[in-house]
Amino acid sequence: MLIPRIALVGTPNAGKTALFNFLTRSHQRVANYSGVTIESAEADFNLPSGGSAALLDLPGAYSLRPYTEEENVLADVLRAPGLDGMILVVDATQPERAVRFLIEVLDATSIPAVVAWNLSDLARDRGIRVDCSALSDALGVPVISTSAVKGFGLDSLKGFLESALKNQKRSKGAFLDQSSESAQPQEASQRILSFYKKADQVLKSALLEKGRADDRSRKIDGILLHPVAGPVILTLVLLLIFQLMFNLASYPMEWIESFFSWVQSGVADSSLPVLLKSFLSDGVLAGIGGTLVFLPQILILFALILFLEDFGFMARAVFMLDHLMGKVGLHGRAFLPLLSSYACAVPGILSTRAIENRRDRIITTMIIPLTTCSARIPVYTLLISAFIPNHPVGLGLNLQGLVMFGLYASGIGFSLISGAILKRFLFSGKRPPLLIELPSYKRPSFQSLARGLLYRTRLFLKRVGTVILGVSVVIWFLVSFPQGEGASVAGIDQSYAAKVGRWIEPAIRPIGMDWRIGMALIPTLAAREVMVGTLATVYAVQGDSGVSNTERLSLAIKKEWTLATGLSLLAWFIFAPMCISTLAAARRELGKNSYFLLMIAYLFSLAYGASWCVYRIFI
Amino acid sequence: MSNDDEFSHNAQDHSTILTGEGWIVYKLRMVLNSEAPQKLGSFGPGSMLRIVGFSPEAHLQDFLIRLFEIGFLLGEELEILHDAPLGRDPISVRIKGGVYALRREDANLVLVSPLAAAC
Repeated sequence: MLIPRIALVGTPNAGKTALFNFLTRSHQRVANYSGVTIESAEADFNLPSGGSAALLDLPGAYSLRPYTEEENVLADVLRAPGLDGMILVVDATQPERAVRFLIEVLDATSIPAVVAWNLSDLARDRGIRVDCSALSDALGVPVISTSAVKGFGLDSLKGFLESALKNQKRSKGAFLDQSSESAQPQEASQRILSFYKKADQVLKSALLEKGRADDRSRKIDGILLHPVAGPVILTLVLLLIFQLMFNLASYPMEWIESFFSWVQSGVADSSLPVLLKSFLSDGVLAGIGGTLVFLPQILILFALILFLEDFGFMARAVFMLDHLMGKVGLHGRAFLPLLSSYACAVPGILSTRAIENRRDRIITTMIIPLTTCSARIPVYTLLISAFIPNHPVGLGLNLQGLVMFGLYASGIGFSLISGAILKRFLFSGKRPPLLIELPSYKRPSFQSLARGLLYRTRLFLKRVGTVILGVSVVIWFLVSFPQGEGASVAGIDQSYAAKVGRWIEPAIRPIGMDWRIGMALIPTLAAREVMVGTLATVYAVQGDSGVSNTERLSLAIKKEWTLATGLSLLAWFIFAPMCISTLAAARRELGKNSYFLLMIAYLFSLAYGASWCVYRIFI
Repeated sequence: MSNDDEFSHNAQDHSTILTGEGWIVYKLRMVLNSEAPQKLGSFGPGSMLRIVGFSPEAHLQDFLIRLFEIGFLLGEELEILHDAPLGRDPISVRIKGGVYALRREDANLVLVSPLAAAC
């Protein structure tokens, strides 16, 4: 049976995602709607009568006039057929703006709707009082006072939604048909004014008490945006994020690693056929385990980002950093995508959609692959432990730590330089304007946060179970076949993978790499971290007891490679755009092929150039 | 506080302001009112201001409409709350119960006159 599809439409910072997380109980999935792939969630929820409905979490918008990419998505979805209802979510602490938005959306669509007059607890604290039944009468749709974070008003919202779905369609408004985005500026501004005029009329009777300004947020801003304390606190917060991401995550990462090596040794001791053992251990478990290890880091980073965003700090960070980022041609909003990219570039690239301006979005997307995502860490760790001596260099630092820091720093440095250069050559003219809302500070809801994290985890696991698993099996096949006489493996030198490696060897010889490294570079297309596993296979590092696989591999490559080769490979990994998921996300966001090809070209040239220089210097 | 009559939600003013003709009419009115319009971007934190006009710049038209949408309307009162630590830019502006950050250079699209200190 087809269940009704309900869209969640609302203004930014009105608590839309919290409402989504509280209404839905079943599994979320990535929504794919009428040909528009929107990276927002869809999930089922129960209606009071026992039936269920699908809820679609759409991006927030200030109006239906598509000014940002996200608003474009919203307008597309509302225009397409197939929606059965809408829940309109607005911020009760800003009644005028809320009513204007409601009038605009209700005027433009004929879809049955109910209004969640959200954050009403905050509004009440500030003395803002609204007569919801007067609002309902004036707008012609039910208006329910809710607080998504406290779970209040939601049952009644669902009840009204269900009866709205049974009723006939509302009479159709005319605006969204074709005109809204092509409208002349004069027309557009006239329309806005007429909406505000109507809102004024509606609120004349419905707004009982105007309330006072948000003094609490103002006081907190007095500290967090203080000329001296502000930047200090921001720096400390960033340091804390990275500290937690690396130190706190190291414990669960060790557990995951030891779990997988325990399973692998179980497979090795079993009485299965040799080929099947090799398939399970090297093909399946190595690939999945090698990627799953990053889950703790990604979760910790996103937990902190979601927390700070809910609290209202992220908007302040953008506010404080905009001037600095403007110096290198970036938009303040690029801060969040770049920060997310330290865990993984894919969610980073997706979050560039919050940047209104196309050119800022393109530049940010193009430099994101240069941030040091956590998939590079195992490769860096391996190469550093093999080639960089653990000398102390004073101040409690050692050379290995310093090199790791240098790799991060060059990632940041080159991303800023590339951003500045790209901006200079691709786009001329003035910097596009900045407009961000500094929302009231709110206490984050841990339930909403937990559900947000659960959703991220599911997406990640899905990727591990499909792309990563598939690629590791293919790689395993290439490395293990053709099989030699009898049951024994013919040796990796004769494998299909070796053929490919030899084929690309001429191209990578100038940067100090041989066919074996070439062979290991190919699977990094799927995920950079696979490199470590492939090298282990290539150098036939077998699992004995005692020393860990990583340590043995580190000894093996130290014996096989020169210092110059090792460092050249490190340099390569700073720049090379190698992960297919990232490329796919960038391709979709960049839209035009030319930007995408330019991105690949500049990243590969940087990688090749840097490796060549490093190789020449150290040989 | 503002009284309702001063909220001139006059569609004519907003739409013609984007054309050259409207701008001249506007200027004239400003001169006659001897209320010299100042740019929003030139004020510091703590300023209480009233919007008296808009400076039309062709490449920022879309942005200006977005400002209308979030409530930067003629006659509206606003307050500058903070400026960012680095370079004293952007500024945060409270208008219609919400707080928004704008760069000074973009805020200059909005013309304001200071409100009397006593209110």
